[in-house]
Amino acid sequence: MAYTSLMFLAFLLLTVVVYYIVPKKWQWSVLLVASYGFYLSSGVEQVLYILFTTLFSYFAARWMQKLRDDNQAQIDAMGEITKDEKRAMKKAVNKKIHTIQVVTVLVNLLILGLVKFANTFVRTFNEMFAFFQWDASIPLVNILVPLGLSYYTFNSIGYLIDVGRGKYPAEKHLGKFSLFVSFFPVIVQGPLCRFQDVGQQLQQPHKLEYNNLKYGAQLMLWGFFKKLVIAERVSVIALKVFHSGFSDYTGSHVFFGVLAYSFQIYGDFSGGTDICRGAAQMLGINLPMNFERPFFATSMGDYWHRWHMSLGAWMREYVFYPVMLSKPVTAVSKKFRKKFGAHAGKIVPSVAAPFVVFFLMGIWHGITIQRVVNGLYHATLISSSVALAPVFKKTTEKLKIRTDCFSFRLFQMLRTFFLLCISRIITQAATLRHAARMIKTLFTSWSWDFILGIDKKIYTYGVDLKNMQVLVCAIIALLVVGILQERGVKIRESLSKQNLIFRWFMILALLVFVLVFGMYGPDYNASDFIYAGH
Amino acid sequence: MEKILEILKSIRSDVDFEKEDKLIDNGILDSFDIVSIVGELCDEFDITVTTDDLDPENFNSAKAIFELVERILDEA
Repeated sequence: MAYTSLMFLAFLLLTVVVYYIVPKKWQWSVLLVASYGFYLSSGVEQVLYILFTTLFSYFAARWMQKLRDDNQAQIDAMGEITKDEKRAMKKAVNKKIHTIQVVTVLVNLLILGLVKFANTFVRTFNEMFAFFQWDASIPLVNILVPLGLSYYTFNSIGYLIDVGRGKYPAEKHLGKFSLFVSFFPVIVQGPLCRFQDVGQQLQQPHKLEYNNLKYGAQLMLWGFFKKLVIAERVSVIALKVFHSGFSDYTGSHVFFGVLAYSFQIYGDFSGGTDICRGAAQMLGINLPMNFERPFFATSMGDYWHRWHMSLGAWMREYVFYPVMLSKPVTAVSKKFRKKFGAHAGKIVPSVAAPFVVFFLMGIWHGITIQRVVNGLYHATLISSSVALAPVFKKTTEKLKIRTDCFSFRLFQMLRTFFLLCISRIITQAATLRHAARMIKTLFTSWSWDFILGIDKKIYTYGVDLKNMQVLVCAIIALLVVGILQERGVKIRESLSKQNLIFRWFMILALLVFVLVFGMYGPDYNASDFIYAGH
Repeated sequence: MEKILEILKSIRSDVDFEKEDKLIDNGILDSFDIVSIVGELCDEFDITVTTDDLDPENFNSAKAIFELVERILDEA
C-alpha cells in the first residue's frame, strides 16, 4: 500500500477514527493492529522477518536489563561494600552486557546483509569464476526483501545499543515494543526513530486535537505536492538523461539532467517523509525531522545535518562517536595532539570516522562500486574540510574576503550544490565510466541556448512547455517556502494566524494544484518511492 | 572549571562558553568539536570518556562538562 495511494488515505482515515474513538489505554493496540495490517498488505511472508527481529531484540534487551537489575540488587543486598568492589561487580556485568549487545547487533546486521545483498555476493562470485575461467556458477537466490527491512533493523539496533549502554530500561511490554518496531508511518522510508522519543510517545494516550489533525493534513498535502507535482515530473527528465544512453550530450544537458535529479530525489524523499510525518501527527505522534532545506546548505558538513537527518544522527550516535572514541583512534589522536597541537589531533579522528561512516552510508544504499566511490567522495570532502579549515581561514583573511555576508553564503551554497551534483552523477550514471565522462563533459562543453530554452530542445526531454511552466512555478513555490523557513517562519503556524478566506484560499489552491498537476499517468506506480526499501 | 574553559576556548575561540548553555541543542558545537574536547579532557584530567557519556546534556554548557568530569573522577 503506497503512501500516495487512495487506499492509504482511506486506511489512515479509518485508523484515525478508530484511534480516537477507543479508550485511550487501547490506542497503542489500535496502532499495532493498523501497523501489522499495513504490513500484511504487502505480503504475508514478509511478516515473519519483522516478527523475528521484534522478538529477538525484545528478549535480548530484556536479558541485558535482567543482568543489570540483578547486579544492582546484589550490590544493594551486600550492604556496605567498598567502592572498588562495587566497581568490579559493575565491570563484570557490563562485560556480559557488552557481549550480548555485540552479538545481537551483529545478528541483526547479518540478516540485513544477507537478505539485501545475497545476490550481490552471488554475482560477484560468479564474475570472479568467469574471470578465472572456472567452470562454476552459483545460482541466484530467490530471496524476498521485506518492506522497510533497513529501517526497522536500524531502529532495533539503536534500541539494543541504548539498553546495553543503560540509557533507559528495556521495554517490558512485548506488544508496545512491537509497535515501536512496526509503526506504519515510518516503516517504509523512515525517519529512523529513537525508542525513548517515538517509542514513548506511542505508548502515551493522545486526545483528539484539532491542530494535530489540521497540521498533519497540511504537511501531508505539502508532501503530495513535492512528490506528485515536482518529483514525478522531473523524474522524466532525469531518467532520460541518465538512462537513455550517453553519446552526444553537452555539459548543459548533463547539468539539466543532474538538476532534475536533484529536485527529483529531494521531492521524492522529503515529500514521502512529509506524508509520513503528517500521518503520524494526525495520530498525535511527533516524528523527528528528516530534512531541513538541504539546498541551502553552505558546506558538506552542513548538508549532512540537513539531509536524511535521522540517518545522520543514527550514524553519529552509533558509528561516528564509537569510532572516534575507540582506543586506537584516541591513542593516535593523543600522540598527534602532543606532537603537533590541537588541530592535528582533530585531523586524525576527522579522517578516520567519516570514512567508516560514509562507507556504511554507501552500503546502506546498496553494494555497488558507484555507491562505494560516492561514499569515499563524501568522506574525502568532509575530512578535507576539517583538515584544511585553517588554510581556508587564512586564505579568506589574506584575500580580504568577507565571510559574514549574503554573497559569501550564496557562494558557499552554490559550491555545495555543485559538489552534490558531482555526487549524484556518480551514483546515477549507468556505470562509473559513464559518470566520469558526464563529469568531464560538464566542464568542457556548454550550450546556453539549450539551458535558456532558446533552441527549444529542452522541451524534448519528456516535459513539454506547459509542464515546464508548472514545474518552474512549483519549484519557485518550494524555494519561497524554503527561504521563509530559513528565516525562521513557521509556515503552518503563520498560516493559521491569517484571515479565514486567505487561509482556505491557500490550502485549496495547493489541493487543486496537486489534484490537477499531480502526475498520475496510466503507467504510474505510486509505490515507486526511491527510498522505499533502502 | 577554569581549566575546562581554557580547553573549550582553545578548541572554539569564537564561542562564549561562560554564557552559552545550549551548545549542543543549538548546534554550536559539532561532532568533531565534541571529540576534540573529549580528547583534551582525557589528556588533562587523565580520565576515560566513553560513548555512554556523550549525552547532549553533558555537553550543553561548560558547567555540564565540568560536572561530567567531576562525576567520572568520582567514579574512578
